[in-house]
Amino acid sequence: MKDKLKKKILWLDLWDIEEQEAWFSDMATHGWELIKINKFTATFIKSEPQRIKYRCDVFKLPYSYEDERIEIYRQSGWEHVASRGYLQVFKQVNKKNTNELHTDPFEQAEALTLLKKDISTRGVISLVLSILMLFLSFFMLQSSPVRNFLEDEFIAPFMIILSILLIIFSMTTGMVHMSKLMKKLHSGTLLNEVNYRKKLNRNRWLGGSFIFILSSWILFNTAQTIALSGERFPEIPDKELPVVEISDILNETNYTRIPDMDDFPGSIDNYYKEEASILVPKQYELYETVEVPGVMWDDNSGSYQPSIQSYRYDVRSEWLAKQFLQELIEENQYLDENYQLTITQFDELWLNQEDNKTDLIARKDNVVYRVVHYGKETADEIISEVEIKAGY
Amino acid sequence: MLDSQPTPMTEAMYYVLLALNQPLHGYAVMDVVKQVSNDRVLMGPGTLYGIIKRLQKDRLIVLEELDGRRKVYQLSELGREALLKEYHRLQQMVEDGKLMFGEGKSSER
Repeated sequence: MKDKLKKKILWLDLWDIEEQEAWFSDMATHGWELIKINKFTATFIKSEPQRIKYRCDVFKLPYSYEDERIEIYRQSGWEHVASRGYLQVFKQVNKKNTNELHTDPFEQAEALTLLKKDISTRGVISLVLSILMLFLSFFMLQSSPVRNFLEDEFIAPFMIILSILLIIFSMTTGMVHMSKLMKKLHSGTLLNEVNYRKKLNRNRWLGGSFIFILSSWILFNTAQTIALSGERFPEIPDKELPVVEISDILNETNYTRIPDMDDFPGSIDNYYKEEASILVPKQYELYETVEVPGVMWDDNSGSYQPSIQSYRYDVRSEWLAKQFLQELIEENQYLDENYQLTITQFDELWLNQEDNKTDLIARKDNVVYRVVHYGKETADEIISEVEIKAGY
Repeated sequence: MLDSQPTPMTEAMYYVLLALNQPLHGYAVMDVVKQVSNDRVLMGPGTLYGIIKRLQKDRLIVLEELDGRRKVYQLSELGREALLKEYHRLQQMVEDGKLMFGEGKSSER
């Protein structure tokens, strides 16, 4: 018959020495005897429910001269069961025996020094790395604020910050806990089993939530990637769109869309798409480039080919919309004061005009419009069309 | 470090040195300590091993020989001196205690 095994996640931290002793012992009374510890799990084997005393010691394994130590422990009735880093777990073989692995708290403190040093070193290293990562994630947040809004790019740095906070919390707890253990030993008290449930539950809750958030993020990312693999330049539908179209602006009715010459599906000059993100749940984007037969540019440089890039963003809240508008201006501003605040019916409207180009960014409540138009039509004409779209 | 061994010695250290007056392997030290102290000092193997390693590092004991796979330790000359020093210190402490408990009472205990 095959032995029944049970694997449990090591929610208790390495430095929770007394808690682990109590946990292993508790598992044994429920008929599960510890046989192995891996990086993240402890393996138990089904056995008779029994009282087993577990004690942990601290030393490096494998180490040729530690054979002697393990032999002495074995002769005194303590059998080596498992290792977790520097932590060595022993169980008392003879259940009637009452002797302890360590009888002198000062000697036990001496043994724990190795673990304390190790945890402190790791703590300091992770602190330094964390600070670097923190800078990196703030840099990531700053690098493309518009994409934070439109493409959820704030999530990755946010996840990094969350992980860093968890690591810092964990390492600090570890260092504080080791100091407490040392203090206890130096005051002349030996380590002993203590209630482990509170710590186990706290760590399980913290770790579980983190794993849940992380996997949701990965799922979300995967879903987004799949969604993105759809058509990049969908055809413009034959219906009324929520954004300003070229037909709204153009005085002529006789025009044709300029056909796309490449082999790829869709046209980069004429497409319409709707997208969504967490902060901007509704995003509309229209590109149109047309040719008006029989009409020339004012300087007679060729046939008249007006084009428009038209966007509408429904932002989560008005406050966010204000921030988003500022970021949009910032990103599209090449020279200082390109965009001029212009008085219209909008809550705010920023206009950037040069020759045949009109670029405007406007906000009504939580909705932000942007129109970039190349053509002969005046800015006022375009603004009034956007106002109509916005429902003024 | 002014002195090779910390003063005062812990009780466990004192007894390990005492036991290693004769060459012994690790586990036997525990038994001898138990005997010498009339079952009063029960030393755990973790404590014993830590002390042996430190005493060896401080050269208070030396690795005498390898008896098969087991190592045999013995008190060194330095260890003997340290033990004697500690013995005198303890003796002095008992002497001083007589001020309070007197000759008769202390021998009863």
